Amino acid sequence: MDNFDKENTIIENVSDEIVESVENVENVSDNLVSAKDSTLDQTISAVSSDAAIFDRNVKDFNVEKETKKQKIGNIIKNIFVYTFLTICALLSFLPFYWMIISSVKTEAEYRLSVPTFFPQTFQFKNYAAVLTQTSNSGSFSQILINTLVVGLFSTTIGVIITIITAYALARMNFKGKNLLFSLMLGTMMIPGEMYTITNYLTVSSLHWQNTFTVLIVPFLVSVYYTYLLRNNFMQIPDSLYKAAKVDGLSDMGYLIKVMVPLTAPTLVSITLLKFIGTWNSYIWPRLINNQSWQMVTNWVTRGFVDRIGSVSGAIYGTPGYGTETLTTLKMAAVCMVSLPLFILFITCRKYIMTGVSKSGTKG
Amino acid sequence: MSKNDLDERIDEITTEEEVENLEPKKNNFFSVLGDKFKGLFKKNDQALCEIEGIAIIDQTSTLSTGEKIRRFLKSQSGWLFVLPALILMAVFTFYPIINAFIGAFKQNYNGLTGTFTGWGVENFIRVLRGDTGTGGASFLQCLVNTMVFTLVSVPLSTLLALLIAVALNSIKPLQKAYQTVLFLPYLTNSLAMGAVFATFFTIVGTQSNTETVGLVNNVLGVFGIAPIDWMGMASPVWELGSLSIPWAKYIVVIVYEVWAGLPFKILILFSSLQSVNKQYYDAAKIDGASKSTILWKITTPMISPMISYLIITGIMGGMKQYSSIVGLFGDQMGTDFDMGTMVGYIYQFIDKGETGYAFAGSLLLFVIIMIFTAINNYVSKKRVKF
Repeated sequence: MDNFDKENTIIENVSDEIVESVENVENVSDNLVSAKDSTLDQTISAVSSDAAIFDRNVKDFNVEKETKKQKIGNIIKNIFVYTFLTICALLSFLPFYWMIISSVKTEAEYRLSVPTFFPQTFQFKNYAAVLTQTSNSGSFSQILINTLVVGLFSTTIGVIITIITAYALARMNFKGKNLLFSLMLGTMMIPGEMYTITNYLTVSSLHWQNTFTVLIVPFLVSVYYTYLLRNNFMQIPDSLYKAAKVDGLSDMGYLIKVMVPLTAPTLVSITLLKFIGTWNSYIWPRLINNQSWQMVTNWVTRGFVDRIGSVSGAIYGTPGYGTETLTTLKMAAVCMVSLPLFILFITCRKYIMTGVSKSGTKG
Repeated sequence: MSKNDLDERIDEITTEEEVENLEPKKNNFFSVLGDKFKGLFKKNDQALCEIEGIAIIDQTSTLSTGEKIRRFLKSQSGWLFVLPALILMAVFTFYPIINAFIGAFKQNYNGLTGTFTGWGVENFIRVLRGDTGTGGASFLQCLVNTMVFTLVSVPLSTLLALLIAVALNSIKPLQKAYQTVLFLPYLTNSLAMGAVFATFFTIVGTQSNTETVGLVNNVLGVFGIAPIDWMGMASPVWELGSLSIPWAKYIVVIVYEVWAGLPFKILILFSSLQSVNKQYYDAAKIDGASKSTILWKITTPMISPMISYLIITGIMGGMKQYSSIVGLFGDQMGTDFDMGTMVGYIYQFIDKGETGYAFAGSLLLFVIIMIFTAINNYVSKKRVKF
C-alpha cells in the first residue's frame, strides 16, 4: 500500500511537470506564429519569383528524354553500388568462411597446392582432438572454466561498482567530487601499458600469481563505462529525484528502483562489452599466470601439433606431421573461441551496437 | 501558392537558421575533458541544489556542533559510494602512474627486488640509442613499425569505410542484410582472427609432396606473379641504414588492420550519415549538383567531425597495438622482433625483468600519444564547420 502511494505521488509530480511543459510549448508556438507573420510577406515575394523561374525552365525541358536518361543513370548507379557492396561484404566474410571450412578439412586437403573452397571430406575429429589435447598443462575445459569464472565475477562486481560510482558522480553532492571525476577522466589519456608494469610488481609482491583474484581485481573499475553511465544518469530529470526524496526514498532505493530500470539498455551494453573484454583478454594472463591459469585467448596462441604420444590427440598416426603446427587444428580452436562472440553478436546486436556507437571505443 | 506550401517554406527557413546557429557538437571526449578541467576552477552553484544541502544552509545557525558534524557527514555520504572504485583506482591506476614517473629514472632498476644503482636519465638514453644490452627489439624499429602500420592503415580504412557507408546509405533493398554482414567482423578476437589471416599468407612446409602457398599467393599466381614469402624468414626486406623495412610483412599487417578497423568505422559513419538533414541533398539536386559533388561538397563536410574523430582515435589505438601482431606473427613478433610495436617493446622488458627500461619505454609512448592528443585539440579547434 505504501509503495502504491509513493508511486501515485511520483505520477502526480510527473503529470504536473507535463502540464507545465505543455504550457511552455504553447507559449513557444504563439511566438512562432508572430514570427511567421512578419516573414510571410518577404517569403511570398521570394516564392513567386522562384515560381516564375521554374515556369520558364519547365518550358525548355524535354520530360521524356530526361526521365529515360535518369533511369539508365539510376540503373548503372545501382549496379555499381551493389557490386561494390557485394565485393566488400564477401571480403569481410571470407576470413570467417575460410576459418570454418579449414577447421573441418583434413590436413592433407588443407595443404593442397590448389585450395578447395568446400571440404572434400568433413573431419570433425579435429575438434575432438583440440578439446582433449592437453598441450603442456591446462586442458581446454580448465581454460574455459577459468574464463567463465573470471568473466562472471569481474562483470558482476565491475558493473555494480560502475553503477554506484556513476550514481554518486551524477546525483550526489560531496566535497571534491569534481576533482575526483576530473582525475578519473584524466587517467584515460594515459596508455594502459604504463600501469601494467607497476601492477605486475604489485601483484607479484602480494603473491597473487596463479589465482583468479589477479585476473579479476585490477580490472574492476572501468573509467569509460563509469563516464558513460554517469552521462546517462544525468539525463534523468532532477524532478524525479526530488519527488523520490520527498517520498522518503533513500539514495540507494532511488538508484535501484528508478535509475537502474531507466538506464537498462546502457547497463546491458556495458555488461556485454565487459564480458567480451574478459573473453578477449590476453596480455595480462600471459604476463602474470602460468599456463593452467590462463584464458581462452591465450590458449589459441599455443602450438597445435598432432602429438603421437597422446592417444586421443593423434589423428594421423605415424609418421604424422611431427612437431609441425597443424593449421586445421588451430582453425578448429579459433572457431571455438570465435563462436560465442558470434552468437552474442547475432542475439544482442542492438545492445552492442548502441553501446559501441555511444562509447566509441572497443571492449 | 497554397498556404501549406508557404508554411513549409517558412519551416525550411527557420530550420536552416537553426542549423547555422548550431555549435559544432562536442562528441570528442578530449574537448569534454578540457571543459571539465576548466570547470574545476569555477564555483559550481548548481551542485548546491540537493535537498539536504539546502536544509543545512537554512538551519546551520540554530544547530548544535554535534548535529552540524552529523549533517555534514551525511551530506558527504557520496564518498561511501565512490569508495570501492577509489580504493581500486588508487592501487591499480593512480599509484602506478606516479610509480612509472619515478621508476623511469632509476638506473639498472629491478622492480621485483627493488634494487637500483642510482638516479638519472640513462634509461631513456639507452632506450633511444638502442643499446640496452638485452637484445630483442630496438626502440627505433618498433617506433617505425608502429607509425607505418598506423599512419597507412587508419586513413586507408577510414576512406574505405566512408565509401562503404555512403554506398550503404544510398540503397534501400537489402540494406539491413549488407549492414549485418559488414558489421560482423566487429566482435572478433584479434588473436584468433590474426591466426586466420596468417593462414592466407603463410607458405606451409613440405609434408610429402603436397604444400600450399597460401590463398593470397594462389590469387597472385593467377596473374603470373611468383609466390612471395609474406610471413617467414625469407620475407623480402628493404635495408635503410640500421633499419630494416620488411615491406611484405607490413602489407600483411595493414591488410589485417584495415579489415579489422572497418566495421566500427562503417557503423559510426553510417549512423552519422543517416542523421544528415535531407534538405541539403534536395537543395543540391535542384541546383543540379552531380553525385560526386554531393559526396565531396556536402556529405563529407557534414560528417567531417566524425571523420576526424575516427582518424584521431584510430591513430591513438594504433599506437597501442600489440595483440593483432602477436596473432599474425606469434609471440616473438616476427623474426627476432622485426615486427615489434611500441607496446611489444615495453612488454619484452617486463618479461626480462628490466623494469627501468620498461618504464622509460612506457613514458616515451605516453609522450607520443600526448603529441597526437595535442594535434587533435589543435585540429578540432580548426575543424571544418558546417
